Amino acid sequence: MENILEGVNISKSFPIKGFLGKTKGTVSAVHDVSFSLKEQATLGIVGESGCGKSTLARLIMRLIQTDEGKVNYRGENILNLTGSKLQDVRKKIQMVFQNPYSSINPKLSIIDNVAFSLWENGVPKEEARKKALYYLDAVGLPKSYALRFPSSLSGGQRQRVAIARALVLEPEIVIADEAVSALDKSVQAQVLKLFQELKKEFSLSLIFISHDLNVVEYMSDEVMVMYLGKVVEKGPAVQIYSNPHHPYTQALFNSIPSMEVGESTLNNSPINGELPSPMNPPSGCRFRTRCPLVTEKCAGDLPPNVEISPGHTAACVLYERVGNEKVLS
Amino acid sequence: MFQFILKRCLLMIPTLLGVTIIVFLMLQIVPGDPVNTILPADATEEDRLRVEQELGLDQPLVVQYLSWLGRTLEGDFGRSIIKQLEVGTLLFDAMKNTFILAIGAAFFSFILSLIIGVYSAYHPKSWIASFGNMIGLTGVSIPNFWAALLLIGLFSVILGWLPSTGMSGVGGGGGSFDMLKHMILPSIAAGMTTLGVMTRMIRSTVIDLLQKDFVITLKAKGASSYIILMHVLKNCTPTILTVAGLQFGYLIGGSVLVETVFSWPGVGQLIYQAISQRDFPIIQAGVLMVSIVFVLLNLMVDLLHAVIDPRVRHA
Amino acid sequence: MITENTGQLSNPVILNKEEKEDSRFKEFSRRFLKNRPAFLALILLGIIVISTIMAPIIAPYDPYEGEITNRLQVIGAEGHILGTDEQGRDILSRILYGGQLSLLAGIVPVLIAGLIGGSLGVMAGYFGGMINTIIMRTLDIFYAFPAILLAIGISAALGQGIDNIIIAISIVFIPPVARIAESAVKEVREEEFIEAARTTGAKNFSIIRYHILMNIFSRVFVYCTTQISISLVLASGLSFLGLGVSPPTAEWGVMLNNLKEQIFINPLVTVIPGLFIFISALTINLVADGFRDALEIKQ
Repeated sequence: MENILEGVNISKSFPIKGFLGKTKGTVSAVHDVSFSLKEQATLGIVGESGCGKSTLARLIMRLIQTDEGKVNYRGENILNLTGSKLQDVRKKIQMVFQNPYSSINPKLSIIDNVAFSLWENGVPKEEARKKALYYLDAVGLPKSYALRFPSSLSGGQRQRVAIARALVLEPEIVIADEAVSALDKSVQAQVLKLFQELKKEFSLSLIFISHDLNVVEYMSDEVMVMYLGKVVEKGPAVQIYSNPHHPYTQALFNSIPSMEVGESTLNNSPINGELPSPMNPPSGCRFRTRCPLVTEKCAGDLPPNVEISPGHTAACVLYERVGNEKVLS
Repeated sequence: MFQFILKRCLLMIPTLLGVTIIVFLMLQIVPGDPVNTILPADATEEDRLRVEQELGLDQPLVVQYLSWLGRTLEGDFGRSIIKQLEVGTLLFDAMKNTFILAIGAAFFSFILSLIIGVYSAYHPKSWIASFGNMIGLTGVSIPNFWAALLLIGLFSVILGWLPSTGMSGVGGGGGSFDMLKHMILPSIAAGMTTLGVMTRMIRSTVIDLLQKDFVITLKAKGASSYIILMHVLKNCTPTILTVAGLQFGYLIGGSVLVETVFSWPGVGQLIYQAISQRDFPIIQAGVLMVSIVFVLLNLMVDLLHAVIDPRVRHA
Repeated sequence: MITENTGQLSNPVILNKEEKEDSRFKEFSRRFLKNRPAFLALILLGIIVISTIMAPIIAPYDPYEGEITNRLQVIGAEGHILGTDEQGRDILSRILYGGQLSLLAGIVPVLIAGLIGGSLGVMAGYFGGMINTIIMRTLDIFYAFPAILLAIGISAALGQGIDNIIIAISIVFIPPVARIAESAVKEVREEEFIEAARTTGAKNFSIIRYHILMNIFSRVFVYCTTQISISLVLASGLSFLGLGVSPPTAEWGVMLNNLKEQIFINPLVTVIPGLFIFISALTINLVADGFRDALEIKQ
């Protein structure tokens, strides 16, 4: 299938301002990240908080200006677009945010929260509301809620409103940034199911960002694992989950508490130490300071992207010359 | 710490410059040509030009400002148009009296508000708490010049206990006992607003603190109420200190009206007289001087705050 | 999941706006009415405001005509329920007429400062960066002055007149209103619904109108209502110093100024005009507190 969205070598760092506005240093939030999203597929992005996955989402949405790299929507780089062309693309890519208590305007009624996107795009108010009502229905909110204000809604209901708002512009791609993290487990399941249904119903392609490995596994066709602004491993979800290669991915999976009776996860080695400061990330492989399998080589050059199997790559020196695998970069 | 002080002092410079600019511009908005007030009505055009040149009024505004700033920095505030005295000398004497009144008002309001505020936080149902409530509301609503008039009416005219006016100023005869007697009513009138603001503030700060986990833990550990009170006071000191410092600044700047009522020989009284006589050099210099004192006071509060609360230093 | 009949969803007439606004307003007034002191204060304030507006109808005497032989009558005197002033004019009538100017001088500066300061604060908070620095640092300078002194300085420079008092007080109130608005906007700007609005390509103007203003309005509004009482007291203070209206025009502050000389003859002569300033300020404060509680704003 064709790629609907591609990221090519995206980088972004933020300056740290000191006294009198002098730049004290930079935080490398996203560094040289590439990804691809197939039409009507789901790409899961997983990693600890602070690994740059939310920044990546905001870069794609053009909420933040990218330093380097390209984001191609159907082959066209959208980072240079302005004016009405940008407006057209914005409608094609929509986002669902993390915190349902912050992501909808408490002073607008539910229906206006959804309809706002439309009337901002030139749809007359009454028509916009009509359409908003349709999408509120689509996300499973009773019509009677339309005139209520967000304060009377639960977290799960609010997230449904946020989803309806993303859908009302009839996008092709929806980016869900930790869209279920703030919800209770039982509500999470409902919302995940809703995402699956809507994806089918409206032929959506999804980018699903979460720190929750189980959620990503449930949702995704492809998975990308990020650590400190870099992609450490990516590939088909089934392969990554059954056969993780990068030491970070392995460590991450080891830290999932098991629900199996008699199987203790306490002996699994957790990831040691703290996340290093992104202000001066470790040279070479950024995971080397915490990696149990660290070698001398890791501090030197950037680790190569090694293809483990078709479509499955890991950025780690361990696999560089093992067997006949091809070195990608 | 040294770095913090340096930074604060440096940040003060643009503020002070801004103050001088505003005070300078204040005089520029005075309607009418200042030359006309000096010259007789039948003056010739030549006379006009000569006076304009003498006063530097033919220069661009920026040049006028800079020369005015230069003179001010040298301590030359100009001469009073009416009194024909150096404004600097007049202000300096008046400032001392204003300070005395502000100290009196601060003394009265700080102590009373601390007692009422803390007590009513501890006993929200007591009559003192209701009284504190009333004081808080009255203080922020009452015009202090009216309070001054009421106090004179009651204590000077009807009861005859305390003098209303006639404060001779620092060093003027009468002695310190006489001065104290003269201070009581003006201090109360000037301190009313501060009393209200501080009572409200202290009460709500202490109430907040009493609900904090660390106080509950102290109670659970069986700490005596004295120990708890000490913990609470220590934690609310920075807040109280900041507000108290600001309030002291307002007392210096805001007692114009009270000084007027009591004929208190302070800056306020001086400015009041200058207003009715349209003696602008005094108004200008008076506003400037009080504002500089105000800025310096705020600086001191900030520094003191930093000494007490190390978190401020690193913010 | 998605029903077939969505195409013929009920008429959007059900989305009538009044109904929606209505429920919010009901909630607000329900909360406000529960606050007894605030409610009573509102009634009292209403009585004062309406009486001053109706002064030409209800005032028993001409506020400018008095008999000098009948001067300084005490409260409760025959024919003059609140007494007479130093020229024998009826105090009640002067209070009623004077209230128009005094109350106006309390409200108008806050309105002006609310508009100008609010807009400056919103611009500074929303656009940030250089715009913020320029606006906020400039306004900071005004904090170096004690408010009353700044007002005195400006109105003294502008010259006598209630209009100049109003201008002076407006200038004094602009910086604090701007600060409140700026910090409120900064807070709201961080909310995800602002980002969400950006992703739809909404223009800054619409984001400010629908997402920023609606969310900061109550905070700025409540702050402004608390400033009305300060403005009222400040304006009467400036009047008291002789910066406001010129005699014989009635105004509460200037009435106090005229009467203060008589205090040694009749010590209670200054009670009435001051009491009206005080009561007005007090009720405004109580109402503002009521608004704040009803809108659940923490300060």
